[in-house]
Amino acid sequence: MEKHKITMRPALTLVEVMVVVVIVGVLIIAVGVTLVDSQKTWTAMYNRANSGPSIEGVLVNREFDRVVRKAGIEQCDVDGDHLKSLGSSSVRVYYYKDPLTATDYDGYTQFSVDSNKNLRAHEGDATKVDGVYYPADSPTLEDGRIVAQNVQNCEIRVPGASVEMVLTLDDNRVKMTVVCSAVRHNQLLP
Amino acid sequence: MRRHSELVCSRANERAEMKAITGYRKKVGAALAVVMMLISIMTLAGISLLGLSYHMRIRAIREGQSVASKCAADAAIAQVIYLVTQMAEAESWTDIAPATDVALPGTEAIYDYTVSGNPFTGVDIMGVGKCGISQKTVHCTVKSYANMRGLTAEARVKFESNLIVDGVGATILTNSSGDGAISIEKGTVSANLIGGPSGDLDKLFAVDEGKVALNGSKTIALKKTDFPAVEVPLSLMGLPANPKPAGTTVIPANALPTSYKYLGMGALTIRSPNNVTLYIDGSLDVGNGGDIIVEDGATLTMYVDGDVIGKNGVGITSNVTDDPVKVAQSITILGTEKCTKVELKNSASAYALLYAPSADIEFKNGASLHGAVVGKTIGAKNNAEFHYIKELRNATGIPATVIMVERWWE
Repeated sequence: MEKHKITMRPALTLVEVMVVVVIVGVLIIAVGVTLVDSQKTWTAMYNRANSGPSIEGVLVNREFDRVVRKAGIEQCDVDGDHLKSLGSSSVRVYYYKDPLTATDYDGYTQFSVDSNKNLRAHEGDATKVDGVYYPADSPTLEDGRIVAQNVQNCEIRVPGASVEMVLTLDDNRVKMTVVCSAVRHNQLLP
Repeated sequence: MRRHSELVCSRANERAEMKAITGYRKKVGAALAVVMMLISIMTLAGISLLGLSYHMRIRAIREGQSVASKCAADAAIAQVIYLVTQMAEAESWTDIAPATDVALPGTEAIYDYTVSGNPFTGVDIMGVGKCGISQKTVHCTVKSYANMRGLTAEARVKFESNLIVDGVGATILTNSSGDGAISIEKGTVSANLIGGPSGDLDKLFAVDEGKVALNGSKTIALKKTDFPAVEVPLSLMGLPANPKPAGTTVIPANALPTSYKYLGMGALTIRSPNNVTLYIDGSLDVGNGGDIIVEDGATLTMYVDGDVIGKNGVGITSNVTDDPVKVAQSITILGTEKCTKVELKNSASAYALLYAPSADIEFKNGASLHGAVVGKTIGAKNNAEFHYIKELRNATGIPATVIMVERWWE
């Protein structure tokens, strides 16, 4: 019978096995954390880019800009009061519906936060009584088309000729603060 | 069975021999597959993040372009208003050539503008801002107006007791930025308060909220309002000087000439129709109970080289006062640098445009004025009334003019 040479290789000690196990464990955890973190980052970025608050914030800003920049500086109603300059529920500005022919402000737009926390924009005709402008249709906070939803907070300021509206939009996934600010340019001159 | 056990034994022997020769044992590998899987997963995650970032970046770029184009359009309008203002100040008007592809510094935006009209009838401006695929067009009409905004002063404005201020667009303005630059103790004030630039909004206005019904905003001006001094036309200064009349001076209808120089003036009547210009090289003191009457259809412009005093029921008005706007438009009092005091008191009543930038102006004891006022300081005591007439912004011949935006649409 042919005699085979049997070589004895020394076995791993317990300590060596433990070190290897720990290193492998750390590596697995690191890779796992990286993957989970990338997934979370992607989800967060996706939500921020495509969530309701994000899209609505852009739209609100454009709408606010479009309306306020053509408004008259003489009057701006905050919370329905033309004497207030700070508020939290609505702001109303007046403007020429047809800037080429109108001799006085005959239109208005109201931005209001309704009871369901929607920001609404309502447009209508304006009338003037004793030098003060009023909406011809007496709108409530619930009137108008919805521009943004999930408005958790609304702060309105009217410093001088500009109008500022700071909204906090929160749909439980993404919370955003939207700052709308624009200057009224028109004024009634003799 | 035997064959099979022989085969197994043979392979075992082969492996043992191989191991004996090479010292290695052949195994089935899994590491490559694991690594490839990890690389694939991480590549996919990376591509997703890059894709999302790309879309966000595109959106941000477009928003940026939109903002830049709007700013460029606004810059076009501002540029033209600046040019128009310069020309108006120099009192020379030349057509402004259209501009194309003017770069907005610090951005990639460019703007164009076209201009038509003139400051007196209205300058129509169209500004177009462009940035990338975004384009914004803004239309604007500007016009030259007299800077008569209500009660306007270079220094302090102080109202001590019952005061009434009203009128559409009424403004109480001062260039002073010191604490209490506009001080109102008591009254009903329907006017916007504007303090001097760099003032402290909380300290500029000393308005007793418990006693003052204020219907208007409080703001700070971006820059000081310019109140140029009144310069008497040389044609008036060269006229022969008449002594100060003893009684009431009457300028008859259709009188010629229409310009006169006096060394002082008291009560006065301007018959209609007549457009009279007076240069008073002295004070205008109407006297107790006297009147300056400008009949309906006539106008009066007075350059005063001294103080203006109206007291004890004095009237500066018209024989027809149904239309305060028309009356106020017909009477203009321009105080030169020698006019340092204007006083209306004891139920004196005036309908006028009063421009006296070197004068301390005071209304007291039931005095009232319908019109607009510019002075060095303005004060009021004991039931003074001021009713602003915005139509005076159309006044001509006033040194203080400003280019105003009349219409804006986009």
